[in-house]
Amino acid sequence: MTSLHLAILTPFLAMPIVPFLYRGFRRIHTGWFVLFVPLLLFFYFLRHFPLSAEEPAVLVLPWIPQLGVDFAVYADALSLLFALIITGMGALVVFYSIFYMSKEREALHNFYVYLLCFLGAMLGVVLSDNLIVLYLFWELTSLSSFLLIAFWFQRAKSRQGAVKALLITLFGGFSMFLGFLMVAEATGSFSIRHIIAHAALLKEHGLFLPAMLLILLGAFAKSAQFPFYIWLPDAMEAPTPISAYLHSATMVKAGLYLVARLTPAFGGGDVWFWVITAVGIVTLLWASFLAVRQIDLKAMLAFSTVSQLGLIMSLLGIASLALAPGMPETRAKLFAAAAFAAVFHLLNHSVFKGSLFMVVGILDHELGTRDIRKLGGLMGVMPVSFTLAVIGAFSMAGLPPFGGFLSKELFFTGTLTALKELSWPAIWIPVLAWLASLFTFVYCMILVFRTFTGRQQTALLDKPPHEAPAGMLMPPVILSALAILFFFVPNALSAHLLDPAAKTILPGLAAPGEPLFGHVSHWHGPSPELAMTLGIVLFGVFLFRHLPKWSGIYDHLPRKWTLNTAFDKSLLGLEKLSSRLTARYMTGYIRHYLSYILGFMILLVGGALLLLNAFHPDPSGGARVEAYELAVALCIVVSAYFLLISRSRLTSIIALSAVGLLVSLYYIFFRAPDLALTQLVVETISTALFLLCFYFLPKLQHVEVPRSFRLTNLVLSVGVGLVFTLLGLAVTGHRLFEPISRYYENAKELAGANNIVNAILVDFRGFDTMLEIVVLFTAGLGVFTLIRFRNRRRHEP
Amino acid sequence: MSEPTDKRRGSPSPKPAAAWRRKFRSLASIRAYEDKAADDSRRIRLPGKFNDVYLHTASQVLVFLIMTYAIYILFAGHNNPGGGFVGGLVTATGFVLLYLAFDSKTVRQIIPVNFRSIGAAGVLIAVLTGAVPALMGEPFLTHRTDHARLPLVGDVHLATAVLFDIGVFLAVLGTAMTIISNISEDE
Repeated sequence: MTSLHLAILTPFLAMPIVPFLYRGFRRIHTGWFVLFVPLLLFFYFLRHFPLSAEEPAVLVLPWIPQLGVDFAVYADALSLLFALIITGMGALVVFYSIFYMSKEREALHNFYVYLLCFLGAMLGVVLSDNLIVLYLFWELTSLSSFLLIAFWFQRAKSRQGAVKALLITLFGGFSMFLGFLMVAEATGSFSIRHIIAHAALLKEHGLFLPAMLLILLGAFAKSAQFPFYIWLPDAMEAPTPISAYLHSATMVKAGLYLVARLTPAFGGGDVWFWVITAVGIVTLLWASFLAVRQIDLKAMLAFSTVSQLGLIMSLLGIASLALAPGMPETRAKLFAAAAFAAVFHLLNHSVFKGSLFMVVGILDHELGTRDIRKLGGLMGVMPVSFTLAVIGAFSMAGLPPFGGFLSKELFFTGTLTALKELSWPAIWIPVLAWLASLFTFVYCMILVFRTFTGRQQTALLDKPPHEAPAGMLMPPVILSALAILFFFVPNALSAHLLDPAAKTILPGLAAPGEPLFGHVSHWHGPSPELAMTLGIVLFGVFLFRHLPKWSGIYDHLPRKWTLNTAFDKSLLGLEKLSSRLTARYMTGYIRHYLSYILGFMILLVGGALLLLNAFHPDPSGGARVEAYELAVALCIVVSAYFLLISRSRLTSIIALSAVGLLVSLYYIFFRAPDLALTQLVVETISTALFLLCFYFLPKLQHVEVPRSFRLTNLVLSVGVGLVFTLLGLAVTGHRLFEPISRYYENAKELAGANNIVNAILVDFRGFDTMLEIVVLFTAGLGVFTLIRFRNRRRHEP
Repeated sequence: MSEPTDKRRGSPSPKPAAAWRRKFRSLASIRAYEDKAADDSRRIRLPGKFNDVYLHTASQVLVFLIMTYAIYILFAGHNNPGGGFVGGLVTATGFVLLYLAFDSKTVRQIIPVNFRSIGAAGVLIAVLTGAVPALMGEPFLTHRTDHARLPLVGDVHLATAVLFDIGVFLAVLGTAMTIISNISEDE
C-alpha cells in the first residue's frame, strides 16, 4: 500500500462517513465536509510536479496474483493530467453544489456518497496499470453515473436517461472487457506497461483486430461517440453540477484516456487510425450540427460536449500515425503535434465546458428555465454570468485570447498534416473539421447572444432575473481565469504537463528530457490555419445573422428513423422476444417443470451411457442377494404400486413414507448407520410436511387426462427407472481410478474424528456443506416469502 | 395470522389447559376430509369428539427424550453416527410432535423464538468458523482438535469441527421449522 493507492481509496473511505455527517450536522451543508476530499487529493497530485525525466515505477499491491490481477497503480504525466482534472474539477463542482443543491430539500447524503464513489472510481481508471482493475473502476464510474443521473428519480425522464446511459456504457464496457481478455491472451499479462512493452507480440497475434475493435467500442460508448452519443443528451437530467463534472469534464473523457493510453500498444496501423479519426470527425460534425437547433441550453451543451469529444478523438487518431512503422522522424514529429493538441484541447475543454455548464446551471437555478426561447436581454441583470458565458463560449469557438484558440489552431494543423501526408484520401478530414467548427461557432454565438442580448422576456420567467450569489459564481470565475491564463502562458503549461503527457501517448519519439512538441506560439504569420479561423468567423457571423433563413434544413431530418427510436425499438423488441420465449416454457405447472428436469436427466445420463458405450456391468464382484433383501424390495414395489392406485391422499402419503422407510432398511443392511438415521428422520419430517400441506390441497379427483399427457408420463417414468437401473449396474463394471475412499479412512489422523461420514461433511468437504446449508436456508426463506406474499395478496381487495 | 384462532371457535382464554382441548387444525381437518359427510369448506369446525389426552401426555415426555437424543447425536457425530444435520432434523421432529399435539399458538408460547433467526444464526456460525482460520492466515475452514482436562468431566476431546456442526444443526433446524410452522400457521 503506497500513498497513491491510498489516494485512490480515500474517496471510498470517506463514503461511509458522509451520511453520518449529514445526520449529525444538519445545519452545515454536507458539501463543506466533502470538499476536503477532492481538495486534499488535488494538492496531493500537484506534489508530483515538477515531473522527473525518468519513468515512474509501477506500484503493485497484490490482489489475485494467481490470475495476474493486482492493484497496480502508475502515475505518469497522462494519468496525472487526468487526476488533476478529476480532483480539481471535483473540488470546484463540490463547491458549486454547496450553493446549487439545497440542504433542506435534497438528499445530500446520497448525492455526495455517489459523487465520492465516482471520484474514486475515476481516479482508479486513470491511475490503474492493471486492465482488470481498470475495468472494475470503469464500470464503477458507469454505475455511479447511473445513480447520479437518476438522482431526481421521481422524474420519469431522469430514470429513463439513467437506464439508457447505463445500458449503453455497460454494453461498451463489456465488449471492452472481452477485448482486454484477448489482449492478455496475446501478451500474457494484464499490465498495461507490460502490454506496451510487448506491443509487437500483440500486433502479430490473430486476436489483434478483434481486441482492438472491442476495446474501441468500449471507449466510444463511454466517450459518447457516434452512434453511441444518444445517452449523453438524456443524461442531462442529472443535477447541473453533475452534468458539469461527469458528463463534460471527466467521465466521458475516460474513453479518450483509454484510447490515448493504449495508443502505444495498438497505434501505428491503418485500422486504428481510420476508425478513430473517422468516428471522431463524424461525431464532431454531426453533434455540432445538431447542437445548433437545440432550444434547451443544457441539451445544446450536451451536443457540444459530444462534438468536442469527437474532435479530441480524431486528434488521437491522427497522432497514432506517428507510430507507423518506417515513419521518418521528421514526419513523425508532425503527427506528434496532434497528440499534443489532443491533450491541450482536452484540458481546455474541461475548463471552458465546466464553466459553461455552471453558467447554465446558474441561469436554471436563478430563473427557473433553460429554454432559450424564454431567455434574452440578461446582460444588464447578470453581468458576471454574461462575462463568464462569453469567455467559455469564445474559448470553445476557438477565438483569442482564450486557451481554446491555441488548441483549435493546433487541431487544424493536425487535420492539415493528415491531408499533407496522406494526400487525397484524407481530404475530407480538414473539410469536415472546418464545417464542424463553423457550426461550433454558430451555436456558441447562439449560446451567448440569444441568452444575454436582445429583448428581455420577464413575463415568461418563473422568477425575476437577478445575479447569482458569489459562491455560485466563484467556480466558473476560476475556470474562466484559467481559460485566459492558458492562452497567455501555454509554454509553461506545456513544459510541465502537456508535453510529458503527449510523450506518454507516443513514447520513444523524443528522448527523455527533450520536448516532443516545440514552442506553442500565438502567431504563426499568415498560415492556412489562420485562414480557416478567419473563414469560420466570417461565415459563422453570416450564418448566425441569417439563422432563421437556413434553419429550415433541420425540418428535413428524419423524425421516425433516428438513433433514439432505433434504440427504444430494439429494447422493446428484445423485451418482447424474451418474454415470449420465457412464456413458452415457464407455464406455472409443476408437472411441466418436472418433465423438463426428468427429461434432461434421461437424455444426459442415458445419452452418456449410450454414446460413450459405458454399459459394461460386471456382476462378478457382487455379494449374494439375500432373501430378506428381496423381501424388502418386494415390499417397496408393493407400496409404490399402492401409491399409484390409491384414491385417497392419506393412503398416498402413507404409501410414500412406507417406500422411504423401507429404503432406509437397506442402509441398515449395508451398514450405513448415518444414512439410515438421516433417511428415517427425513421420512418422518416429510410425512409431517405432507400432512400439513394436505390441508390446503383440493380433494383428490379422478379426471380424464389426455392420452398424450399419460403417454409422456409413461415415457418419463420408464425412462427414469431404466436409466437409473442401468446406471447402477454400469457402476459395477468400472474401476478406472483408485477409489478415493482410502484417503478418508485416515480420518482419525487427518481430522481427529472416528466417524468418517461426519468428518467428510464437516471437515474434508466442509465447504460443500457450508454452501449447502446456505442453499437450504435460502430455500426456506423462499417458502416463507411465498406463503406470506400469497397471504398479502389475498388480503388486498 | 391476523385473526386469533380461538375467537372464531368461541372459546375464551388461551390458557394451556383450554388450548390442549383444541386440536391441531391440520390433523383435525384430515379427519374431516376423510369424513365424506364434511363439507368442502376450508374453515372446518372441529368435531369435538377427538380426545387427545394420550397424545398430550405422551408428547410431553417424548419431546424431552427426542431433544436429549438430538443433542446427543449432534455431539456424538464426531466419533459415532450422527452429526449436525441429523441432529437438526431430529429436533425438528420433536417440534413437529408438539405441533401435532397442541395448536400452533400454544407451541409458539412454548418455543418463543423466530425460526428464521435460528437458521440465519446457524449459517452465520458455519461461515464464521470458516472465516476465523482464514483471518489467521490458514486456509478457509481449517479445523483443529485438542484435548482438555475439565474438572469433574475428565478428559474431553474438543474439536472446532463441532462448532461448524452446531452451525449446520441450527441452520437445518431453523429452515425445517420455518417451513413447517409457516405452513401450519397459514390460514
